Amino acid sequence: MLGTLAAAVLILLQPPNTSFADYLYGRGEYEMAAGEYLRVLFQANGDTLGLPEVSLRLARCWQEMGRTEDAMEMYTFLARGLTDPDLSGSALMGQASILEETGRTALAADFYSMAEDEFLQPDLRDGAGVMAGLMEARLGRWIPASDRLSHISSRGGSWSASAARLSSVVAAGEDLPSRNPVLCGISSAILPGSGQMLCGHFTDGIIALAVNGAVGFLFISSLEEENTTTSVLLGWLGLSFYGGNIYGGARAADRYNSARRRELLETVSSIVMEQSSSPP
Amino acid sequence: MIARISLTAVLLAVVSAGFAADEQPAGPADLLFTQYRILFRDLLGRRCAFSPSCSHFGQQAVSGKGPLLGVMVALDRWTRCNSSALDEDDYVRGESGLISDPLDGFEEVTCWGRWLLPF
Repeated sequence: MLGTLAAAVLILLQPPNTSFADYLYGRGEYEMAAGEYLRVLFQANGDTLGLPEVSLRLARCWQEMGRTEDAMEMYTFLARGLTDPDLSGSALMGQASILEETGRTALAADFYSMAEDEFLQPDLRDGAGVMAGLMEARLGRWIPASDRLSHISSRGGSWSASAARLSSVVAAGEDLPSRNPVLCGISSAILPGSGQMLCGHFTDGIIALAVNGAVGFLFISSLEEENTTTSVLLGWLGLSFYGGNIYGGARAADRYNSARRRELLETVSSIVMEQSSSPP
Repeated sequence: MIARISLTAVLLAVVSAGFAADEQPAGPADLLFTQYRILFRDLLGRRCAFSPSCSHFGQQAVSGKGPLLGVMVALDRWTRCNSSALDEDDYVRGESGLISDPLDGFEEVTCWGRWLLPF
């Protein structure tokens, strides 16, 4: 009788078995993993704070499944409720990653900074610090971002080499070649296609020049022939082409600047991916 | 007479196909772009290197930015749609191999946060 009671108590005290859920999670089967983690939490009477790793992974599964609001709610609850600094820091990282993905970069930088302050483990702290620095870089604050990454590099640890590389890459952002959209637009207004050419899009510029010239010539010819209907039609078409050419010049500059930024951020991505896939 | 009736029937079929092809109620501009796609693109084959295609882009531009600015934006895209676009470094290639050029915003942001989540 006593033995049976002891066995029952032991079964009840046993930590829930999450091996199958972890297996699914590891394989990237997030929908099924979420179901398994929910089952585990259900068996634990919904004690999300009592099973923080399970809750964090469940939130991550929701995040991967596109249930962003549910994931954010869970991360927020865990960040407020968990007392272990490394676990609450992990929840803050989760919140920051969602903010990053939803384009709220400045807020994401704040949350990564909060996670950096929260973490006790040096590797986790440096990872959060690097992300805070990269968010600043994404906001165009290249030099403060580079300084921050350089500081993380000087601490030593597993992030040291990657942070140093990131620091030099991010510092180069200050000298990225750029084109002024307003100037390119004005340039295209003066000479159709010239704004596009300034951004290196020579064929687009030549086509814009030729089309505007041709429509303009036809418009003037129709005016000379006193053909009112054709003049109105060609006048509208000519103005539309001309306006489109000015818009295109400005947009070409935006596209040029964006491409240079993207190239730099792709280098950043490769370094971060390399670091995240390397063993600690 | 027979030719006229046939032509009217064909036009009616094309117009009704245009209405049926659009999920949302179509305005005159939407109908025009749909007709273009049915008559020219589907018959001649897709030749646009961009995604969304020039006709979809133009349709979105006209419905989103109004007929004046929309036509300008669509014509700008039309002048950019040439073989040189395939060699430009400034464009982003989508998964389908087409150049990604949405109406608003063209910067594809890579998010790194998920890669570093410690759980």
